[in-house]
Amino acid sequence: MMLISIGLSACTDKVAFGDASLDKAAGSEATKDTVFSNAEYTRQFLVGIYAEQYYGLPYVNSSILPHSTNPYAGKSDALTDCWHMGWNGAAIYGQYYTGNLTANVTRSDKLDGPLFSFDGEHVWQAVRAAHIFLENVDKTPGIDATEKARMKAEARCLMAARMWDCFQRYGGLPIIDHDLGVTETTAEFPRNTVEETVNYMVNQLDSAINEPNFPWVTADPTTMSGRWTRAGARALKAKILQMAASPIFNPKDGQPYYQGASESVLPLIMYTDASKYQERWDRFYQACVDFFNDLNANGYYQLTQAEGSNPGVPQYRLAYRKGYFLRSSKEILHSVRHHGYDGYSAGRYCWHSWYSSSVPRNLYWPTQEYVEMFPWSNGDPFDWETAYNYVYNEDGTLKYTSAGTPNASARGLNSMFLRGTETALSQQLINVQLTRDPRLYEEVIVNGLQKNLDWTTGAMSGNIWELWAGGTDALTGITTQTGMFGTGYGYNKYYLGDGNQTGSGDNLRYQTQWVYLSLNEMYLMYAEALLKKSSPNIQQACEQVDIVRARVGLGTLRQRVFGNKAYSDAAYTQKINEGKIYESDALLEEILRERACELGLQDIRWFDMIRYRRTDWMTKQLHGLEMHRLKQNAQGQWVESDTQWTGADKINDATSRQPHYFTYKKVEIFGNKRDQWGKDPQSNDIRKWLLSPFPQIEINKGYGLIQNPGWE
Amino acid sequence: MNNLQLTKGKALPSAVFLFAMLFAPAAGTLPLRASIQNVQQSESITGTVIDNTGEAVIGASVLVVGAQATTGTVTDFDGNFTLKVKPGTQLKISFVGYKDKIVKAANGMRVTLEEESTMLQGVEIVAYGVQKKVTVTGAISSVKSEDLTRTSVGSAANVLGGQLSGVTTVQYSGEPGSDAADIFVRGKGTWGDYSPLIQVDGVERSMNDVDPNEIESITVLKDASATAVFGVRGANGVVLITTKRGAEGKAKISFSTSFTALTPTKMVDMSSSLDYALFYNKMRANDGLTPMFSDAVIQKFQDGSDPIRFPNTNWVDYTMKDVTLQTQHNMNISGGTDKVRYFISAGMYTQDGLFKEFDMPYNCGYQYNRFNYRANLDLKATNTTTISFNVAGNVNNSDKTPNSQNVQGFIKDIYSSVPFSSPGFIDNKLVLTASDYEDVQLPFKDMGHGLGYYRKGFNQISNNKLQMDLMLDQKLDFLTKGLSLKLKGSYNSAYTVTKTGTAGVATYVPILQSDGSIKYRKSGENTDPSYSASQGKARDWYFEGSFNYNRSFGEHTITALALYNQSKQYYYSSTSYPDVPRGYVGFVGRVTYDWKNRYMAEFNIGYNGSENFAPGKRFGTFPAGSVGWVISDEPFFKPLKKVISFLKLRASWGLVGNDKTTTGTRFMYLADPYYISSDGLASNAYSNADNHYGYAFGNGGVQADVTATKGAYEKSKNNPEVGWEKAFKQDYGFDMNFLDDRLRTTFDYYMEHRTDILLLDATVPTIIGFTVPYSNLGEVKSHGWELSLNWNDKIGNDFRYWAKLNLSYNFNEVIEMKEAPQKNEYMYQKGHRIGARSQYKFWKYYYDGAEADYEKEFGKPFPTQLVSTLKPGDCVFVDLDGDGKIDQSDMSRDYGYTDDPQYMAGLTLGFTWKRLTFNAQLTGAWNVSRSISAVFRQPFFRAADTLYGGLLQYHIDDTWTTDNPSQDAEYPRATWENAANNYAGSDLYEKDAKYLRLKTLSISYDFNNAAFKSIGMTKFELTLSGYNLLTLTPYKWGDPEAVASSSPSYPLQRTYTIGLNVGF
Repeated sequence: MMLISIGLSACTDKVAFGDASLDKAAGSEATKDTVFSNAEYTRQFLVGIYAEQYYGLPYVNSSILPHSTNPYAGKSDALTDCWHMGWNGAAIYGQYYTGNLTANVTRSDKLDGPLFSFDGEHVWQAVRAAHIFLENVDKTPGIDATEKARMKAEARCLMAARMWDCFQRYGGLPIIDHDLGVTETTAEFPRNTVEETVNYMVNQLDSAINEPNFPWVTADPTTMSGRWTRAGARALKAKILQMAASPIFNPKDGQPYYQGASESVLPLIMYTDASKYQERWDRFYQACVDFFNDLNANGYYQLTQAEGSNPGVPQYRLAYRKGYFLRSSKEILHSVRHHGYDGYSAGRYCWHSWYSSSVPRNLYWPTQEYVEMFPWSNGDPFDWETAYNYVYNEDGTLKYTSAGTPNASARGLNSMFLRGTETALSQQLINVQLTRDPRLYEEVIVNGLQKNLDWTTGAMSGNIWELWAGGTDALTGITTQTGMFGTGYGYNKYYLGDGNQTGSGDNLRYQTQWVYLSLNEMYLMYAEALLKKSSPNIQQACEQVDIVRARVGLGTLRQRVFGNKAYSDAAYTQKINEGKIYESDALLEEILRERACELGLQDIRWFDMIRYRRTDWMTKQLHGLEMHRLKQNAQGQWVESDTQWTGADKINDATSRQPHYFTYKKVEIFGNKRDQWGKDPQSNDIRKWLLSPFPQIEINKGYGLIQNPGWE
Repeated sequence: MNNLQLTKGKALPSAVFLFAMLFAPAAGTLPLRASIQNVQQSESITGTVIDNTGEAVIGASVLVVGAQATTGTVTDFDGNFTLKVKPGTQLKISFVGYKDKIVKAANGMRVTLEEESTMLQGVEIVAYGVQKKVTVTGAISSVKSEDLTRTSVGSAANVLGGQLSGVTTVQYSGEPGSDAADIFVRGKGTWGDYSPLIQVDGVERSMNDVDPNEIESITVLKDASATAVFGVRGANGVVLITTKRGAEGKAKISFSTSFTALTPTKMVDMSSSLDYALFYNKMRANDGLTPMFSDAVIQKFQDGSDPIRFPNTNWVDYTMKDVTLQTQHNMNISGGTDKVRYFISAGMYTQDGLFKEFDMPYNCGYQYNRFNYRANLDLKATNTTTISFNVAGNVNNSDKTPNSQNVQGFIKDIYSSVPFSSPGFIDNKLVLTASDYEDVQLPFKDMGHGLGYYRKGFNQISNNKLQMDLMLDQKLDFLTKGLSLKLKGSYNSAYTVTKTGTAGVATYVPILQSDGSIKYRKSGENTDPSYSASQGKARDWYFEGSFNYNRSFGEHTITALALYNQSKQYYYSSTSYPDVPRGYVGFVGRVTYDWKNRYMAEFNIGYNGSENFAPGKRFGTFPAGSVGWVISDEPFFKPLKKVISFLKLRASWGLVGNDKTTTGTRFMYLADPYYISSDGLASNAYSNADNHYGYAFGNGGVQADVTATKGAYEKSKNNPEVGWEKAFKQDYGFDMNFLDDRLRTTFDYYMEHRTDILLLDATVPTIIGFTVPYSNLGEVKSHGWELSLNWNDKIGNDFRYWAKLNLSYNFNEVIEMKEAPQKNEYMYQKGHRIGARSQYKFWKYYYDGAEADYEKEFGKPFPTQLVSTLKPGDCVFVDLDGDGKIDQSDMSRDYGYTDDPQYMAGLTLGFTWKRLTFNAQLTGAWNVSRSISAVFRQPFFRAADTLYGGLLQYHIDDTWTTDNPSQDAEYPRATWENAANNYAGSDLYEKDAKYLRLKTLSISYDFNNAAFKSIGMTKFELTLSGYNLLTLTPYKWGDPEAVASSSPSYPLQRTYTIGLNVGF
């Protein structure tokens, strides 16, 4: 009876006995043969490699995704002078600011290791997958040769890009050049030299670039954008060669960044042949030229420009925002897409959702140093002293106008973010003018800025950010240096507004893409190449920067920065010849500053720091801005008042007007302070941070890794 | 019957079912009896052999006196025999341990044997059968039903610790319905899956599905001889649970009911708001930071004048009940005729959750209800055929919080909560404080409060499990005497419905009005829960067929067993081939021999197949042999017998296997699997690691949901060479009784060598880009000993007392684990006990002049610590490798113990005096430690950061401060700046978790008297009992068995029970 019931219950299966009963029943599992005998699955396999790309906006603590997507690791931007991490739960604090990082990584989530993990980033999985694809795609029936050629070119780009992600943080890498078998796990995989690694990546890109079926733009960007193209390949090649030519790997004097690094490690961390120093810059320059020639021939890519005949700062800002944020943006040469939008309290994880007063974790506080990099809205450099002197007397007391109000001069501190007019009709200021570089408001949340920006007109609306001590948004976080606005500023890039998921944010439900390569970066790269090539061309270099500046309405470098003074090719060349210019000069400093303003939170500042060995950015004490609201007391005197406006006076007192006079104090950052601050930037102790440590365990395995200097 | 009231409203359907169960079979026995009469017309007579307690004597020989020795039979499992002789023939009934008896044959005869020696009675449950206790040569220990039901517990696992030698239990959690202890048989033999095989009535099932009242005995098979026949599954020991069956005789009805008050054994104290603020500011001052809490806020906390806006809430007290109720009721009826026997049981178990539900319209406080039923029937179809049928199951419901992180997350939330985050409910409103008061600002607000579950919804899980066994036992004496065939088929099914409700909650922020009153700003709404349900199911079947042979030739007895079994489990894995059922196949052979119960030898063999291995590697052979010698039966031993009444030496050797990996990887030999059509985007795809290889190409719509282009990838690498993990086990033991068996002792020494452990080789380069497949590369050695002493005696006729001591010791060491290479030996798990933690060696709290003292003590210069600048009170660690700096290469596994104790002891003391019974069971464990972490280690810790979390009173009381710079402080100087140093994993936080606890205590009195007896009552016993009544331990961070980490356990419970047990 029971046996019958067993038979019935199992009637959907064949009941077998003995050995046969242990064979795997039919299931859905596929094998390599399944994949490469089917056109659809072969295409899918390439898509699978796309999913392994670097995404620079940490958003989810997950062991199944690349390590750098983990907010508990953190963004390298916070290791520069432009941002400071205010959350102590991330490795940025625990490993870097404390100086605790070593080569020994013991946690399985690798959070006690480098931000970009050598073995936890899916770099090697992607490289492997690319080889599997390249070695097998020819077998697949049902895909024509044109498409196969295109897909192979994409696979080569994916592989080169993943190696590049790792190379720029570690130096020379082991090159895996084929699909490894299980028996090869005991083989040697020594590190290749910087030269070999660069050439391998560039060769892969060249194969793609030279593939006639590899398009400059995808056939249909509305459905295909995000795929690698020849434009992306050319841009990546230029970027690789830019770093290869930079002092970190290409020291003019042949000296490594780390004094006394052993002979055996030298070729792994630099080009050892200094005689080809200039050749490497010229190779970079040529890659830029090739890119722009291709662009001129094929078009399509262009900077997103402000709309309207007479755009103001908000419209420039909107153009800039659309340029990096929208997936349809034509200035993006390659982007990476993860799941990345806030589903309106749907419990989804994205960059946006990790930054709010209730989830204060991605606390990348812009520093005062960064904010001062942004010029006034016409392009004139911002100068703190000048602005300060408009507002304060020499003895530190406040200046007042004849009307008895604190000073509100156009270039004074009270106008350094915005200015407007008080009116009886509205509690908030009207005729608000944004006074600085439009990009400031997109990179940084500043005091008094309205929270929302209209996606069509660029018009601002909503409550203002209150970032003074006791203000609605900053509250006590200003004096204790905690929370979202510990420096008196918050970041706005990729965030776009109020993140506490009440629905007023500007980017809820927008897919957040990571800009991997973009045209604005190419212009600034080209400027650098023009400056560094044999026979530099200062005029053209400035023009490239001006293209980027013009998009946001800033005046030209010559007019606004160099004051129309002679800054000629001849003078520059002479200085080089006299040995006065080695690693930097005024124009290069401007290019680097422009890159920081244009490409904030896109890893750019960190790699500029590495490239130019600018450890002084690492060791300088950084500052925040402490603001106190000035409020008239019963006697009519202006006194500091650490109180809210939006949540208090504004609703309680209809006559209350938006605060726009404050006291200002630049304060040293003491929250999560960095061990590196105040140390000698040229010491090995600091210089060692320029390249990341390989995991000691991988070195111990003895397959040929040699540790970067300072981490042994 | 008053049990209807006792079980409250919910019990009504179950009570109806219970009575239906009770009466249906009783009615059915009548016609059966009529048919039995017909059978008895033949010359066969049947009889039953019982002992003086009424228990069946199994395996007793029934021989015709004067006839050839071969005319006779042996009683079966239930003491029954059938013999073709004429009534009146003289029969000699004998069984070892009993005095021989000569009786006249009569149909339906009942023969009562008198014990010769109490020791020698009885049988032992062994794999696929029973054996005479005296001839058992393997290492087996068992516990009877009465020891499992002395107090009310949901799972029998919780009262096993200390009752059985060689069994270690750790009860990590007290969560209703999920509080079963982890069981280890002889500790851990591997770092992988070390849980023993648990069978209920011979089929793999969960111990928690069985009502402890249904259990006849629990037997633990420990050595290879006892477990080799399980081959594939036996490596970690086997726990056999046998349920009760009916015995011939009039129906016995037993009814028991109990009411239990539960209270947490120990909760951890949390700080007050004032202490929180002061400690916070002090900690900031330690780091040279500005105060976080202004004087005005501190004043508010101090004077408590503004308790709504500046509250001080003890979240443990506020959200948890002091006491909850548990009830347990069971009714069973058993009995039978010589043809039909039955045991029918129905039980109800309810446990209330510890969490207050306030005015929530649904339950979510961890309530648990379970209804168990079981009917075990034995039917003697013919004289040679017995059919048995078991049907059992349970329906259980649990109401949990909707917190996706389950109860750990929930308890964690409480311990991470901030005392001023909320005053709780004011006028039935959930009030949360704000940091934006106009006058005095709190620096932070509701970063965490203990009411995170309030009105957020529910999570109701209903399980319905049904288990059936059908067994046929056919005697094949017509082929050859002593041969029988057994067939068994089992089917288990389970169906789970999880209903989840998610709701919004209205919260209120207090706003101070100018007149000093408080108004509330509402945010959110109390919404009705949105409702979703998901189903889970399980079904599996098991088949077994065997030939048994059992025959005595004079003084030689031989038994043999040949058995085939096969099982299939559907819906086995959710990750590895979820659509493919899992199967096992086993062939089992066993031969035992004994001569006069004096010399015993046994040989077992298991030949098992696993789906995980390639054809050709699939089957493993697991032989085991054992021998025994009852020295005390030797003539030369006679002089000693007065003192040593019994002495048996045992030894066994054998091989057992395992095919499971820790990750549940299956079919490890197949071609490398690829995953296709993955349509998920890279995201927080925790639940499905495979499905994030899709990609979002194209420009998308501005607000559109993204549809992914599907992706594929290489999932893993397989290894066709992979095969069985093997354990070679040895056991040497003796059983020795003293003083007329009043003191019985058992001692075993065992060794185990586990080889070919399945592992992932971590020595290969990561840059190969794939994960290496499992290979048979690991090795572990373990050994240990077990001792049990059992004193049982009577004084006079009315007073009987007992004392039983069990002591177990287990040692294990990882010999090879293929760990990634390290600088120092002490960093490896290799060479250490399984589970040994990697941590720094704490030296002292730093003080001025510590450098010199360190150098004096270690002869090496003071090492650079984990941070560059130490302040007094910071941790100083020992530079184990002497390289002048503390880094991960100074983390050693040499210090502290592990979560599972090396020593476990149990002491049971009890007596009966007339109708009074007293029993106490003490359980102790030592050489065990817990690593405290998360909020238990670091002040203000919570999952997201260490800034806004909870603070335990321990930190306030026992942290190194400049006012109290004690080297004996539990915690170093409080700091964020040097947190990486002070809160690094070190043996400072490895806390001794040894304990001695009064596990159960019961006092019962049987009020049965003449009046009761006149209505047929045999028992009316009232019991007062308790569980976890008293715990002695140096461990402070909650219960010593629980976990103080980022996933803290639901508190373990202390219980007080009053129970009534009535028999008819």
